[in-house]
Amino acid sequence: MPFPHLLSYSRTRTTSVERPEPDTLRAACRLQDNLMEAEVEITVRLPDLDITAVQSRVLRDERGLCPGGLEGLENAVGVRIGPGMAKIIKGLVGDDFPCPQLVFMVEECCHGVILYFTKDELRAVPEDEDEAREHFARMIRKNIRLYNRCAAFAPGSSITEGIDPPSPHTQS
Amino acid sequence: MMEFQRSKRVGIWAEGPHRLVAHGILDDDIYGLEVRMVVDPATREIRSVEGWWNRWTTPDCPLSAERLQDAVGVTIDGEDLARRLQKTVGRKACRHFANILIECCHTAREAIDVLRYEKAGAESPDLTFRGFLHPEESSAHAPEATAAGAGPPAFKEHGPGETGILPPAI
Repeated sequence: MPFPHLLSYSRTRTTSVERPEPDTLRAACRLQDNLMEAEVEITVRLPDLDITAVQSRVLRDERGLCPGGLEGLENAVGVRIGPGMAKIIKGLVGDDFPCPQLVFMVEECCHGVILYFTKDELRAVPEDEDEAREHFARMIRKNIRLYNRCAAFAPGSSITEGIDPPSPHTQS
Repeated sequence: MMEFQRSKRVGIWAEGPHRLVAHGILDDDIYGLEVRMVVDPATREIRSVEGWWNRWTTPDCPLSAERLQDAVGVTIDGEDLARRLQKTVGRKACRHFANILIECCHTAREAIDVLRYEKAGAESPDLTFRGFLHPEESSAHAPEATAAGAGPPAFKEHGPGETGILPPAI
């Protein structure tokens, strides 16, 4: 009998963000698994977070869905990173684009850019737990759409204690 | 200089013909979390899920690890898989748990393809992975590619309880 816990399949996906110029971010997503190896890189202009360039490279593709020289991914140039971006990117690249993995990797780059800014904001959170709780409570009061967006911001959590739920038309 | 990095790692292994286990790790400059889920390869449904935090942001983030059970019963091939997991697990628990669960589902789909290919390949040593996925392309050159057991997985072909997807020897 074969050794039972050998991996049948493994995947590693890494997304990184750097800021080569004060007004430019570069985000790259790299994927490596049993069937595929690929890289996508986007360039983003600040402060509007517009995508100004998209590049991709497929090094290995056992499924044969992603041949070299694919056109369509560059249609994501001009998209502004923010709410609704995934749908916009999919729409611009088109349903007939044969390599959905590369489209997903563009989205991962965009999420990386958002998290880059989130990391920066989190530097302001106090170390003391009660103060941190109050910090996040203030954040919800300032942007009530965050209410009930996750377990930590749900009714009943210590962070939302004393915060009135938003009226139904405020929350999407 | 790199200023943010997120790594996601998913490993898949089979525990007998009815259990495919996915272990997902999401680790970035902000969050560190892990999930383990079991998929039934016959029904392609998530049978169980558990998750835990290594690093988080708010004092109440740990609550979310207890709220992942909406993922149970979800089909890994569902057309609206990502949206469904983001709306349930993402909203009730945490979107980063939803994120790594989606990655686990996508990876599990491919693992099932590979396991089925390996099973078919044992009977047809010349079968290529592409030939397995697209038997219509290679049938002219390799008729064995269309033999029983070959071809890409199609959820509707396999009813609950069928065991033909994974090699029983695993």
